Amino acid sequence: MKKTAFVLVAAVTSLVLSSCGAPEGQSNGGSAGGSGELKIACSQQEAFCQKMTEAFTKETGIKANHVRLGAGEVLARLKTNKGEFDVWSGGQAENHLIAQREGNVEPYVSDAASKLPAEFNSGDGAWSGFYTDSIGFCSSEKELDRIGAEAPTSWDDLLDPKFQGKISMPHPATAGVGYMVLYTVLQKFDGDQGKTIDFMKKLNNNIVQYSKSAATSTQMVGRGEAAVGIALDSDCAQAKHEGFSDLKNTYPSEGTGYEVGAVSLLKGAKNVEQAKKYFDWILSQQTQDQFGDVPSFAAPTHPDAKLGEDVPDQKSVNKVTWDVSQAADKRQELNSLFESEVKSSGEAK
Amino acid sequence: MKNFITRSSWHVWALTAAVVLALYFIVLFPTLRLLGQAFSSRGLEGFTTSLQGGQGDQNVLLNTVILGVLVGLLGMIGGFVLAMARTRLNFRGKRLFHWIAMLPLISPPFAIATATVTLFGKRGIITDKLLGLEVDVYGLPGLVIVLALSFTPVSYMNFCGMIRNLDPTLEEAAQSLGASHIKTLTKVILPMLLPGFATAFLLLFVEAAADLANPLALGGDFHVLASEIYFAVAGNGDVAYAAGVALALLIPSVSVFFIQRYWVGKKSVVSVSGKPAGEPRPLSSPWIKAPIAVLAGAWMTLIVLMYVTIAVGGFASILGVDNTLSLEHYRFIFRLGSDAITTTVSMTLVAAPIAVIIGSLTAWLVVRRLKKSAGILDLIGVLGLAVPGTILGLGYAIAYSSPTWLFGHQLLPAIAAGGSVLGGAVGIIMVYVARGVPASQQSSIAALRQVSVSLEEAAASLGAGPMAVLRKVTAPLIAQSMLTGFTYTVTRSMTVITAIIFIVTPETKVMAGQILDEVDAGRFGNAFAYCTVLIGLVLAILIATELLNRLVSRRSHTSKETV
Repeated sequence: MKKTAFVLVAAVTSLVLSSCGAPEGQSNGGSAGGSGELKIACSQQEAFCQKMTEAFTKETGIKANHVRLGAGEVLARLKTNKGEFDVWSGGQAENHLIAQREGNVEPYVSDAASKLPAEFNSGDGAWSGFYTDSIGFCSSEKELDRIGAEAPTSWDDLLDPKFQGKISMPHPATAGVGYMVLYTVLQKFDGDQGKTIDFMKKLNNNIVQYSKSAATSTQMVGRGEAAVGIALDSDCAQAKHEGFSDLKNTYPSEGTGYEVGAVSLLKGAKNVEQAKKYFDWILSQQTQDQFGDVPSFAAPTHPDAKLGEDVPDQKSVNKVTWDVSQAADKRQELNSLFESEVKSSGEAK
Repeated sequence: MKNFITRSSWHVWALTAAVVLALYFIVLFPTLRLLGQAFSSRGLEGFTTSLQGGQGDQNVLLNTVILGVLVGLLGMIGGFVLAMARTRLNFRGKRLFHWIAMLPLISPPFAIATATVTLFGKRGIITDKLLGLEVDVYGLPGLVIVLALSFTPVSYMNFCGMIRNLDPTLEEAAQSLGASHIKTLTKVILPMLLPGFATAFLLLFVEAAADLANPLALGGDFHVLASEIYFAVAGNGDVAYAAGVALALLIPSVSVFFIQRYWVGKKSVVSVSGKPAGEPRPLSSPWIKAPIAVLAGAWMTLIVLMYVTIAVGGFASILGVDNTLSLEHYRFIFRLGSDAITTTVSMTLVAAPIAVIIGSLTAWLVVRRLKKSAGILDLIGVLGLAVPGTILGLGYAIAYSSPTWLFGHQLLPAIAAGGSVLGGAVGIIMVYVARGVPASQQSSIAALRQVSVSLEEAAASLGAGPMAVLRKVTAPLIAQSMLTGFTYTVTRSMTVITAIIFIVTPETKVMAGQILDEVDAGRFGNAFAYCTVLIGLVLAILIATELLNRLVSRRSHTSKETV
């Protein structure tokens, strides 16, 4: 019996060794052929993802399901699990561009894209934008009163020692908005990386938690766990709508970063036709008219789409120059620097 | 004598092969593939960086160890106090006490974390609104308390069993020789429980060091190895690096686990005589009773508070901020989560019987069939629990997200993560099985060792074949322990998140994963509602199992220490 067990163990071990790689000519990806059910990677708030997926199925009759993942998480999963998703909906355009450069996006120029202003299209079909919003400082008036601080109106205001342990922001590795903050600060310092990292290190002293998702920082502020959240103005409005009534959004006077929330068709999609339909659908005025009903507080990109109540007006926001292509270039480098230099620097509290 | 039952038939050979193969695919293969990645150059970079304490100024490895030690100590003391209170104090409602003490075990990992923020956070209902304190729960102190509360049931169960088995005559002897109550406690009771303390500490150390969910939600600026693994995979898609970090976590975890199992576990001095000579007596000295009653009372109050918060929180708009009654959270989860609820329950109900069958067959092979190789098989079986969940899950993502090939033939299609067959459900079920097998295996081994082999020999000598003996004699003898394995697998599967976080897919949504999303997005109300539903479901399954069990076998007379 003993011998048998050993023989078995030996046999299966050799099985591992031989089963590591696929033979040549065979891809390691999943099987081909779609089920007809559209698989969406959704980098929006869960409620939005849910409503949009449902509305799409209802209006087109195409079955669809989604997973909510941060933009960083989608990029990571595109690397490790190719062919898992058909379409990527939401998340910053620069992340879609990164996905394209990594060979994970199939260019598709939708007819619907021509209706959008030029800044909301990549031109080559890599991505098109269907919503837009900006980074703001989402503060709780009650908490500001307590620490005797004014709502911050510049990036440097955030470094005030009054805010020690009072600021929350999303983690740049998992949440696209976290990286947006890094790139915005880089733009503020005219591309000086050293100054950017210095600034982030100083800011790190005031951070209570780098949250995995973007919207978390607004919720933490609403709950009083932080006084200021670096967050999207739309997420701040959303949290306010959900019942955190004393939230207030301010913008940095020297300019802030903004996102074009994009959609892209993924390479290796098993349901290409359905994915294209989704692409067209989400860019259409009809669909974007519904954003306000979700409710979502990001502004639609279609110029004629209805603007929902309380949606922050993007035209009046002072923005930094946003170079999608450069933002895509810098992501890996800035995020690594953040990981190694910033995240665990400073005195432990 | 033995030749009756060691007489082999091809059935037995086939069964052995099947069990070995099953264990191989559910535990060993993913672990080996993970090690393969860990020993790649990028993996070794992750490993050495982690050993040196990680990339930043904080020493992540040290943090992990500190967290493990603190949770181990606190949970060990908590479990001891609760067990003493239950077994040695006189009060009414012991059943209720037991269920409350066990609650954290059947609830998802974030239940306590979210309740803690709501109650004890900077603007917590208790700390801020009642006491006017400003407490920062993000970081080490909050983590320690939350993890200790979550894992204490493990040490509590362990102590309950041990204290019950203490021989009360030893205490009587000590006291009739003139020892004071306190002296009896320190010189007789505590030394006999020493292995229990070690076991509790070590088990909780492993659980805490490997926990991922709570550091993600509550870690603050306190980084641990598990969260490093997560950010390497989820943030950068750097699986090899993550595997290296995982190795740095795997080595201490597995060592501690096996120290506990093969060394401390064998040092037990309890129940030398087999059966305790009499019932444990209630404590009589007020000097011992009072602190135990106070501490246990405080602990219980804390747990009750947490779960009241969870139950109430699901019905409040934003508990602590806007307390108006709202059904919005339940509407949200039934609109959004009904899929997750049915999938989780069905996958659990598929996994649990499989885990029980594999676990008890492994036990049978280990105790009755194999000789020297028994130890190896036993070890492979418990590996599913010894390997931290985060790491097992990562192993699955590496091993099964692409097809498995053998000599140029496709052996298996992709079975875990996206783009795989059945929407990745097979992978998740396999993880459930892997985590459930050890419990089933251990309880069945214990049961088989207590049952004399003579019954099986008698059947064999009367001409029953080995398979008939297994089916008609052995299986009924260990039915109770199989049930333990079943309930354990159910509770584990319903609540596990760390082991499946890397392999959940669009089609296969899991409740624990949905809860993580809600906690992570800060929508605590939804998380509370999910937790309440999940706890209710686990309880329903457990009660149904128990009723079924009573219906089927009315002869069960042993007191059950199961969940």
